[in-house]
Amino acid sequence: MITNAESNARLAKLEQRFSELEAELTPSPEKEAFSILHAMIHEGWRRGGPGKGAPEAAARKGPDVSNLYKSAPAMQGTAETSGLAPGTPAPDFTLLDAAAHQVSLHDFKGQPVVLVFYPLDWSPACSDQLSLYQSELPAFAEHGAKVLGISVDSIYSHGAWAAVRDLTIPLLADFNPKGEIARRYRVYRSTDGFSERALFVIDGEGTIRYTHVAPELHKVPDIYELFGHLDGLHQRA
Amino acid sequence: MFVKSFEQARATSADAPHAVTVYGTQWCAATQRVRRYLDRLHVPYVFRDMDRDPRATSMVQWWSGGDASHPTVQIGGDVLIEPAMQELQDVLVQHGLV
Repeated sequence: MITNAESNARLAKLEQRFSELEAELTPSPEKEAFSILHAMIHEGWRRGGPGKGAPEAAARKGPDVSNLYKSAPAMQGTAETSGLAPGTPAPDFTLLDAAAHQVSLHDFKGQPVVLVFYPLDWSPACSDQLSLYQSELPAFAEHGAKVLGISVDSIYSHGAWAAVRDLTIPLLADFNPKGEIARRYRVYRSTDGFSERALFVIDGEGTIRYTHVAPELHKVPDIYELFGHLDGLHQRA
Repeated sequence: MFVKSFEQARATSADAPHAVTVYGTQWCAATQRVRRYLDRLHVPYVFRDMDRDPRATSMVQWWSGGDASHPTVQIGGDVLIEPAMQELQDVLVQHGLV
């Protein structure tokens, strides 16, 4: 009887040979069939293996609301604006969070703030982007940075989305007047009625030190680049 | 040649560590999340940027039945296509990497 280690080693060799075959086969229905079979086998393992797959979704009745965004229409479009430039004083604002508490930029004077403008709650790239930052909150805390999310959604949408996605990042409602704060930061997409996907890093004195507007709506800014700029703030201080 | 027992291949047990390769893009949030997760665990990996490496894209399409899905994570003989974080962790544990 083979051991698990031996079986895994054999599987690894099989997978390696399968991968090598890709370059040796010319495109054809047969090649596509092999590719599909490979994907089906792995998908079967995901469903049947211990601790594999999406365990919670299988047990729920009805649609998995937390992953609805995966089947939602893709958000596409090129950037229409470039945002306020680094070196510009960051416009102050006061918006409501999901609990209807007022949150102002000046509340965080003395610490770096990462303003995350994103198009809409529940949409594909936005869901992944905010989940990424949620998982990185300890790293943001190490930089002493506060992360604030801003979109044109209502506080009710923010509350529901945060609950479903397990988000504790404050989500601020740039709801009425619609997109006013996005306009102040020059990241409002008037053709769509929501903001660009944009990041601003604001230092403790209230000056913008980093601006990133995604060239395409579905592209999430590189988090390694973001942390590089937060590191730069520390070095400047 | 077939693996005789798929259940044996799936059973949890530590074995010799295998290389980890992450296929994805710099702008994909899910790819970034996987890479940062591996960084925190100090699991070494190779990142294959599917925007810059056409071979990386064609390999993912070969594995997935035609979709250029990202992130796709290869851990030894395991190929995880857009894995949930728990799924990724389970496979890393299976390979003795965490």
